[in-house]
Amino acid sequence: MASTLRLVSRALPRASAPLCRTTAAAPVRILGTPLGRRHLSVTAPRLEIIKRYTEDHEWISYDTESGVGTIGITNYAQEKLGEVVFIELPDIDSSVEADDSIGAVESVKSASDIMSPVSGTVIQVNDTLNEKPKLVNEDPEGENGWIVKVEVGEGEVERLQEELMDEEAYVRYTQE
Amino acid sequence: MPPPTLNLPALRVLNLPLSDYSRVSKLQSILFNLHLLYKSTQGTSKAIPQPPPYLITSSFHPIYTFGRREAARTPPDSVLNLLSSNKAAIAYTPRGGQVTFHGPGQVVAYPIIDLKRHELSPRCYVRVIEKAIIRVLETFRIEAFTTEEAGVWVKDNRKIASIGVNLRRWVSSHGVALNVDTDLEWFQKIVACGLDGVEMWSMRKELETRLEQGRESRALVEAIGMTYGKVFRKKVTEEVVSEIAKGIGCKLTYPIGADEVEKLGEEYGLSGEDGVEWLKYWDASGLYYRVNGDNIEMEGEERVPDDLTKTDIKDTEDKEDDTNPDEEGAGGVVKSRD
Repeated sequence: MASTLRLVSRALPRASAPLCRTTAAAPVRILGTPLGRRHLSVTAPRLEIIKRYTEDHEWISYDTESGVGTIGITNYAQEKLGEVVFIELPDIDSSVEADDSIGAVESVKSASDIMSPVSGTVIQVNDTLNEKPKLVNEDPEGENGWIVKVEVGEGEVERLQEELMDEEAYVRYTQE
Repeated sequence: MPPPTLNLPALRVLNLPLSDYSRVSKLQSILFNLHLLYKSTQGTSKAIPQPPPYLITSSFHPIYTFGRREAARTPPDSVLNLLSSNKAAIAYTPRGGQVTFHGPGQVVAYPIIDLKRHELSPRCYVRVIEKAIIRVLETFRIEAFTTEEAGVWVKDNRKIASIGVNLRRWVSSHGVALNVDTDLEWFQKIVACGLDGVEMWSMRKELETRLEQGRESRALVEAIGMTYGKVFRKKVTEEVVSEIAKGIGCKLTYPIGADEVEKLGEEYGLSGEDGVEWLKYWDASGLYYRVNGDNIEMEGEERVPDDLTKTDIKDTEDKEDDTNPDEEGAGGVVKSRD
């Protein structure tokens, strides 16, 4: 594992200026990652999908080519929530900050906030979920059950890889 | 139910008298954000001690609250009429479920706990609360059950308690409202919880119905302490606290006061203002608020209603008693019944 560790920033294309409308507002959180929140960080090869998981059971899959992160809730989360009856989606073009609520998943009388793992701008929401919220149960991490797409702010990808869990770590986390 | 091996701290119980929704909302928000602050600072230099589980019990001045999926919903005219005459307030909340009514004669219980610490999943948590209410009702010889719909029911499609929960990072807020002797006419202004053809019910109504049908002897009803009003509601509240504590795995309960919560808020810089979650709100003194993001604006003039406390719909007789501060925090460490 250690041998694959490399500086992430070198492997990733820099997001261009227009992609980073929200960086001015984004909090400074690049350095000094809390030790307790550090998880395995594995360098991504060029032009690939980097998928990471939060402790609150959201996933984000970042496309290094487009700079877009797709966010949803994990299979584990949907099992624990039960049948989803409603999804609250954010407005397109709204800017989000890491750890802010970007919507909610409502199941049996409980509405769970979806927390954004990254700062950025919402560029797309999965409208189909308005009609078929159950897709989140059926295909939570696939083509149909994703929730929002976010243009990821500058520096966020590095933080993502530093702080969030990769699949292996997440699987271990859910089995604890 | 969480495994008994979990070593959980005593459930801190804030027992509030009949209150404005805004006040309870604010106190709830302080405790909720305290839990979130703990989570976000864990492992950093700013780490704060892990907060214990909390439970707020109260009842509210008449208010209709809307659920998360109704954020854009305009209340029905019947409710708007009550608003404009200052007989009830409305609030838009982040909880699950749909519109419901809160008023005097209800026992509202809002647990603010980290589900992870209690080893409860969201789905499980809602069931735990429902089962706690069923056990409370059993104590008063009312047979209740759950259905496919959430909430607690008695037979003939009558709903006696409503549930609506918000979870953020698996920290809970909002909770359950049990109708003890709520004036059920309030519910007729809305389709409660989005369920058509459902009759809202109360403990009082259930026992009265049984008496009418001769299914229960008056002696028995009296024997189990069926004196309506404050004393009875207090007893129900104690049962609710005890059963919820048991349900979430807390062996002990410990009473706290509102001042302690406010002090926590000051200590950690949590104003609780973001818990003021309504878009439009008339408080009991006739002030009209509008909320825009984190900013609360008072809009419109202060209106002093002709008769604030009297309503067309008969309010509970002992309303004034209800605000008696003596009711706050019944003393001592109480062990939850096993």
